[in-house]
Amino acid sequence: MMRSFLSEWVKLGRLRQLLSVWGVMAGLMVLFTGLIFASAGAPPPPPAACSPATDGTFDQAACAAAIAKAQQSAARKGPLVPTSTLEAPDGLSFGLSVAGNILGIVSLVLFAGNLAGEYSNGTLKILLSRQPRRLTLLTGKVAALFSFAVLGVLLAATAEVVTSLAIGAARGLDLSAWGTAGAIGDLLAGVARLALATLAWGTLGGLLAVLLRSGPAAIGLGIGYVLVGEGLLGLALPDVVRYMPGQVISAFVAGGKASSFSQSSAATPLAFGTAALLMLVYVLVFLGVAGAVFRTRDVAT
Amino acid sequence: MPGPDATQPEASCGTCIRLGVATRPGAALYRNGTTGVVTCQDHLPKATPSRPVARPARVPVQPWAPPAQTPSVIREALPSPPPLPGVQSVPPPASGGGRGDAIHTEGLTKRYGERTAVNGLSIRVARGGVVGFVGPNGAGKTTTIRMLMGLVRPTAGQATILGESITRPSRYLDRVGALIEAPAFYPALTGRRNLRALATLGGHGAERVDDLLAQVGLADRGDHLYKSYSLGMKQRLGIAASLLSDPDLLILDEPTNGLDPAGIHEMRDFLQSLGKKGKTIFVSSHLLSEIQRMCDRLVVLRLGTLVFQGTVAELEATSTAIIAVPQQPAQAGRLVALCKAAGHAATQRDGTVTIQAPDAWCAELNSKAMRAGIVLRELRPHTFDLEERILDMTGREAKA
Repeated sequence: MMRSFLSEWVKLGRLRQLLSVWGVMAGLMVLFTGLIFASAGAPPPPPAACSPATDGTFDQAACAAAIAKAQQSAARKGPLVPTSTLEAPDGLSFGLSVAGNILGIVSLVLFAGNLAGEYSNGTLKILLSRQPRRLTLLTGKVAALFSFAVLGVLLAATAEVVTSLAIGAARGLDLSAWGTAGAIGDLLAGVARLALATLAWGTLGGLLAVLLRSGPAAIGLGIGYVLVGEGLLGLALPDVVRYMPGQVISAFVAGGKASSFSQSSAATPLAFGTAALLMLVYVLVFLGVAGAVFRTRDVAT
Repeated sequence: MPGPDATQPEASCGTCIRLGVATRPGAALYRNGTTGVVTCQDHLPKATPSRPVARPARVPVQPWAPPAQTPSVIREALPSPPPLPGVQSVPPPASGGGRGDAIHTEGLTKRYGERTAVNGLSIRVARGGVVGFVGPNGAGKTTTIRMLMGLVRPTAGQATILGESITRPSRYLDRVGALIEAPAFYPALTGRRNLRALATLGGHGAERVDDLLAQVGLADRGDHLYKSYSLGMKQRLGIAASLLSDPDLLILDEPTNGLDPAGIHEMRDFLQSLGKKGKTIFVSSHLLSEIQRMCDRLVVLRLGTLVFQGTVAELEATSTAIIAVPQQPAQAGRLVALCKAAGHAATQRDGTVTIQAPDAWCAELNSKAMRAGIVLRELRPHTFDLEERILDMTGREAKA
């Protein structure tokens, strides 16, 4: 497997490839983090209806209605994130959970394009002539791609921290909580979750590549499913879509916290433990099916 | 056929004549009794050095067969070749044998739905030498090669490569190099980096990459992107990749595709030199003249079925006949009867009699015909070109 891993790195380790994929990952992270920090602001004041009347009475129903109305208004034109959220210890790693899905899609494209390319370029037959143990070849390739994606995540996380510090300081946020051990722990945990999530997204892309044997088809179907398919399903079956791969991985990256960027805001996010377990199951299923097909199917192109 | 002309070659021992044009150089006997040298017009591009093929030892030929129904100009102009020597010339491999062979298949079959790509193929390729794998497009050559390389699972039958079953490619592929169909590499990598990736995957030393690039003439282009290579350069890189493991068996699918005449010549010499070193080269090619020059043995497929396996000499030995043309076309029937009475199969068409007999029988036939009152205006031995022979086996509709 090590030979397969190293061989894949000979292919991946081109400067242009490194710059393009890692550059896209870091660039997306900077973009998302910058947008979040740039648009952060103070939360809207409590509605007047929630203040006690001069006679000391309090209309609970009117207050609830006013809060709902204020929330709808804030969703349209209010700040994306309250500054208090960003100033909290886990504010340093906030960008990681927000950009998790986007980095996941980059990983999906990386895996799908790479594996499907072996079919469409016809290079698979020459690879198998040097490494006829197909599962060994596939495992080595997946490991190499995963390591490549993880290095991209580390670079993106570095970019996220630098961007957060720079814009946070420029906007005059109170960043004192970011230097605590809890903040560093949150950051490391966020990076680890994001790295594992790229594996999950990647194995989905790899499975589609092995099944479809076409890069454009695998990438199109994968992105379409994640961005559109689960969204539509979420409108019809919000309780079911929580358990679909995209939502599960999103919940895992968010670390069990509710994310305002969840695709299916109507659905209650999964608990972290449940999300982690389901994601593991999905990864094993994706790898198992891809491995079985890769091992048994004729290489006739 | 050209009309009688004393200046045209009449009989030429060892000269293959097609449509009145000699295809190999040699001494010619003219109709006026003089001799001369026949000018050679080879099928290959003129820049390709033409090398006469060694004449095989003459062996008794098989009975004559009626001409195949192939309406081509060449077919009309030439007498039909003898029947195919066919599979009978080499018995099918015995079950369980072939441990010492480079390639040994028994009833190898591959079906894709209703279509049978390879049908009960039983071949035996002994170790050492250059073996041609010939057949028209769709004959099943590439499918066979894919099965041998473990890329495609046979529907039925079995095969061994270097004594190991093809169900376990990992046991033999480190001793096999292959170029299957068009060379396929990563377009965005350089030639050197492509080879490095494969060398790493196969556990071969990186220093071998430089040696091989030099060996195939790509030393100065090794650092250029693969997508900038010409077809011939891609082919060379494919050959280099197939040699990474210093294989005992080299399986090459159309290795001369895209090469210029000089490159074809180099490739031929290179493969022959490998064959002489004891390696087995199993090579398919559409250039039948190249196969003829390059190979010691042939395996010929048609529609997924074996039609011949044996040495080139065996095939050539069945490709000689005597052509006799009586002055009076009406006497052709008598001439056929005379030949049959002498124990030689003969057929006639349009007044031309084709007799399956060794060329040495020309003189005796001339004498017999004279005694029988048959005046011959043309009498000559004829050697069918190997390319013609293979095309007759595999069907002229697909010239591959």
